[in-house]
Amino acid sequence: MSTCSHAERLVPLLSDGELDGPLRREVASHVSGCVVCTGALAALERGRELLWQEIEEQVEQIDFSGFWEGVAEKLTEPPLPWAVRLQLWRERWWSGWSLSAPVWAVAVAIVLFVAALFLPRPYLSPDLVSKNLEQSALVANDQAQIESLSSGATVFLWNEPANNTTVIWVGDDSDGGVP
Amino acid sequence: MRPSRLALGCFASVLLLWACQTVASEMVELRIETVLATNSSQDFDNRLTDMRPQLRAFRYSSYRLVQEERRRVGWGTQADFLLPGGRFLQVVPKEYANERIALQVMLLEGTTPTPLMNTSLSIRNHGTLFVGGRKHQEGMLIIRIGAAADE
Repeated sequence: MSTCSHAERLVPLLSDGELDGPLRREVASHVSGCVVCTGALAALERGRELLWQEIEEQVEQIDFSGFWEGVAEKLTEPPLPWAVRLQLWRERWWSGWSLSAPVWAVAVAIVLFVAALFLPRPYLSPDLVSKNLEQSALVANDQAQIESLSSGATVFLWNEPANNTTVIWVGDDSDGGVP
Repeated sequence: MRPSRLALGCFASVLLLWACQTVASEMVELRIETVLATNSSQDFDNRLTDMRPQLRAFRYSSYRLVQEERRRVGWGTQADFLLPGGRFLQVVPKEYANERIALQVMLLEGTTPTPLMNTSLSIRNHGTLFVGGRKHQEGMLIIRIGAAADE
């Protein structure tokens, strides 16, 4: 059987419906037979009633007209600032480009190759043409081109056009001669 | 395989080929073949078949390959070749231009090697040059100098 000193700590919980099972029944049984605790419980319930009443009065004074319109307006995404939109676009573009960088490289290489094939050749002046022809003749010439030659011995130098052979014959003083 | 990975693989392969070609083009292969030419017989060394038309520039009856050496060197690097009879051949590939290879060639002889001939010339890529005239044994030495650069 609960005493008032024990029950007075539990009466607020009973009022709030926070007690379950045997403890709730025990406290409720004590309150029903105790004038002091009954008064305490009644005071708590009266205080709660007044609190709810005050809240309801305050709420009724609030103007809720246009509340949902305001919520709907807030839900609509406002346009982002240009700086933010530019940053987002740059991030999307960069991520897409970085994934296909090799494809871009191959594409650029192909474009350059095709451009090199089909772009018109630069104009060649007669002098340049002549120089190019000389270089071409030099390239086509299989014979050696001697820029300088020095020797203490007798040197014979000849080309055999028939077989594109260049010979440097360094004469042997003892028995060297042109073969 | 995803297209991006396939493209990445192709790109890497092209890059690798380009790198290999770049490294290879910085080397030149020198080929020195020494032939002993005599009139003592009519023998012709079968290893000299590819240069037989060129050897018609000389009036010998017999040709025999006595030494052959190939060496890959970098541009501007001097390559020394020891020839029969204690002779030396110094070859420096200088540059590659207009499909021709510029060479500095020096022939040295003697116990204290003395330059016999020093020349600066250019030959076609994969072309050759003959240097001869030094007596060896019963005949003459004819040296074919070849150079080949990777294009």
